[in-house]
Amino acid sequence: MPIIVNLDVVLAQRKMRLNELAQAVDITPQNLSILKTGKARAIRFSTLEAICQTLDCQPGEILEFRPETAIKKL
Amino acid sequence: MKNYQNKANIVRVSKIIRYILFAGLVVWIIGIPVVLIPIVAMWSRAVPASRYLQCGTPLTMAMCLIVNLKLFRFFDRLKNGHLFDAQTVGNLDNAGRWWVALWFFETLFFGISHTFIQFTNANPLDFGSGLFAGLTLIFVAWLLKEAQELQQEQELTV
Repeated sequence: MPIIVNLDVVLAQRKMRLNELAQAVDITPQNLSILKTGKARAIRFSTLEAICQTLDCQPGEILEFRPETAIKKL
Repeated sequence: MKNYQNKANIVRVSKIIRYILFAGLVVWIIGIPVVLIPIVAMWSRAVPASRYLQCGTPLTMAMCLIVNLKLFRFFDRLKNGHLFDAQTVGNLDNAGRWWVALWFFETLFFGISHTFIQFTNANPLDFGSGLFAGLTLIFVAWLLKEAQELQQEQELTV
């Protein structure tokens, strides 16, 4: 999938665990894990807003677009 | 909430249909040996044409049992709240395919009996109702498969 989720990178930078973030944004750890592992098909703006607010970051730090040709090269 | 109320109604109706189909299963399971035993008993005394016709009934009943079973399993899953998952849709699809197979078998069987032994069980008003019913089930299963993918998409929306 061309959209890469870098949530684990931002979590490491903020020294926060997934469970703590899940509690803070009021989402189940399972759902957050689906997002972190790139299995999510879509993300609500409300969820993105809550994550960015908690982690004090921009959406672009969490989400990255990598065209499929670039992924194949990697 | 309207959504959950609709699902609750579906579950309730499915429970009732399931009971009816269960009764049907019992009828077929009891009926097949009831029909088969006299056929086996009279086998040696029957003429070939009669044997041919007698073979058709238990085979037809067996296929009806399979269709009934697949529909029973479909409504059983609906009763348990599994509306759009792969197994539920698969049961409906299989029921449709077996119904089409049943129609095909009956058409072939009675076609042969009409041609070679001048016997027909054809209902002049039956224009392939079994085929239409089977194809309808297959089409509805196809629609449910689409609904299944939409539900999966929704479940993977964070």
